Amino acid sequence: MLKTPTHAHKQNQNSDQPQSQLQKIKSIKRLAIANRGEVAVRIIHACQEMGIETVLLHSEADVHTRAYRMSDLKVQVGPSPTAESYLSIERMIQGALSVQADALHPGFGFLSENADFAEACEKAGIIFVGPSPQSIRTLGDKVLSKEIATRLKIPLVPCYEGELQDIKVLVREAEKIGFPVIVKAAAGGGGRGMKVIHQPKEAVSLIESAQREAMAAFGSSKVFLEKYLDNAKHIEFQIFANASGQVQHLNERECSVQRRHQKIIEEAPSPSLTPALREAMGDASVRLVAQVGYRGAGTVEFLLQSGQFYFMEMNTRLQVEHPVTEMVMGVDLVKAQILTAQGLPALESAVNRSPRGHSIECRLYAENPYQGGVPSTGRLGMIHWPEAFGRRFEYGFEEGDEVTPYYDSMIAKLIVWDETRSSAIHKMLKVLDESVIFGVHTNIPLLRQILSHPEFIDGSMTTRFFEKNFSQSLEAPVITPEIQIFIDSVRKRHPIGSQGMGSTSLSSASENSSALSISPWEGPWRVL
Amino acid sequence: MSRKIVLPIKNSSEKSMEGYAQILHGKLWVHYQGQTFVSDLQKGKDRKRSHEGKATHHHISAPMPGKVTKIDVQVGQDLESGTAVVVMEAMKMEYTLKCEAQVSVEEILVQVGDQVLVGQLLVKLKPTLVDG
Repeated sequence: MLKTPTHAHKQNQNSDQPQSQLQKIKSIKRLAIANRGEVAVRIIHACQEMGIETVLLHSEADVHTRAYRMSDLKVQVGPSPTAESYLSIERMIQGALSVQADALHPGFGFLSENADFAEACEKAGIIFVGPSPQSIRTLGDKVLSKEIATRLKIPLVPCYEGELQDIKVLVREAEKIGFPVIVKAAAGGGGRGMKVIHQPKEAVSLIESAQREAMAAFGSSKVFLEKYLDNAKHIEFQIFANASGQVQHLNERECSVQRRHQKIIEEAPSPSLTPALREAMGDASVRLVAQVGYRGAGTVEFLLQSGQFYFMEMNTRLQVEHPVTEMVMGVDLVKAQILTAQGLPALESAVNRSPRGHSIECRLYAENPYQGGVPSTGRLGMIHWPEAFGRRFEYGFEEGDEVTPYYDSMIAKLIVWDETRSSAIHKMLKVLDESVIFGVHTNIPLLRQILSHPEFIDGSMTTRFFEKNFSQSLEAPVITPEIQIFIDSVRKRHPIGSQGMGSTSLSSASENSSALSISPWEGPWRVL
Repeated sequence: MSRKIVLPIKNSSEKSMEGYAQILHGKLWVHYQGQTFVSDLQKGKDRKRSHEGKATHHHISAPMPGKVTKIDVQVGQDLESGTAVVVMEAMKMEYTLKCEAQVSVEEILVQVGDQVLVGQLLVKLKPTLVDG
């Protein structure tokens, strides 16, 4: 049984955050969202419940999206490339000011962990829904956060995080740490610009590649090196600091299923933690965060190998996988963030609550699993989500929307909750079977195989699990006679020609699709 | 606007065959028992979608729309099989396109920084003659 210790702590009184500022009540009437996709939708839903107007600050590419249609106001801040839209501090601030937004939610990714952005919001008189710029600069910084962790005697993984970024220096440092070594973007997160170097001869090309990815994603080519634990689990703790400075943790998530350090499946609670480990890691997370006068949601990430945990980094923002915590802890983290930003009480009744049941999230990527996961773009056709109890669908696109190549390929998140881990896995497999997405390929076949793998089922998977078992493209599915009968029946009765189906024009996509749905299917057909 | 289709044919578990189907851009998308299939109506045969741009003996084309971030070769250069030729970035991830045979570089059609379309020819290659 899970027994949660008392894990609410009063923050360090010597913090650099003035307490008076934390406690001042500032009402939010209009909130700008500097993000896109499913997280923008998630924030809009929270605001709608709270009676707050929303403004979507979006790029040219994101007009045909669900968040655009749902938001009360929309400001196009720039063209499709992220540098001129979602990563432009100036344009985001201008956009928010142009409609007199009194607050801004950065979502995750993009500018969400950029202290300069949080500061620019403050200077412009806009409430930044997140921690203070000082908190982001200390805890969000991979070097400073580790210094704090060292001071608090929280264990760390051996690493190089120096200023010297010459390739020769980096290679020498990598050799000093001992291979395998991981190279990652200093400013990064979310797996971008991360590579594992297994042998000395790969070092130069992989470090250079990481530097280029870091430059493209974050505008800085600075990289760090770290000992790669080759059999570790990824465990992270959700923490939350309310407006009066009280820090609590909301237990852990396990995100060991990763591909190139990009998470694919997350769950809560972790099948790997003993009550003693949970207590020790939760306590370390709260102590770390309590050092800086934190505010709002954050995540402390650890690696766990052979019963030893190592602090990895802190993310000073909402996480993609926050829903699994919400499902088992019975909380709404986005609403709690917005309440806290206003100086109002949040999550008070959740203090010391134990997780209930089990929740799993699958990230749905628009990619072709039969071709090594190459991104799949295009206009979406029919989408069907099999709604039922304990199933949650977070998505940013609907039928007729276009999945463009400019941004991350995650188009939706599927979240399930059930009483036990095995019933949650079973439910997720059902959801994957019944979810229909036409127009782009998705990783659903891959997700199904992962969830059915013995190492996932028994909960023993590590961060090497994906690489070890799924590094090859999936085999294309065998078309059984039954499937062939179904496909043939559909094709045979499809009125090619009479409906102008020979046309491949992109603009006729929606016409094509409605033509099929209303066409008089003849013979033994029924269209429901 | 459901595209649910029920065939009055019983399947192996004695149930009516149920699935979904829709035509998009001349391709028929079918979802049946948890699997999605795409077939090209023009070609008249079942096939996977053709975003197959990749390195062949004679050229390297873009497997997806994106940006060229590195070109590791020069015209006339002889390459071993497996040599990285072009690095592309799409959706913020890097993809390294390698050659699959012993070849030499005939022509480079793009520059670093170019935005390219899916299937676009990036580098022309020709097989290298190897003395027996």
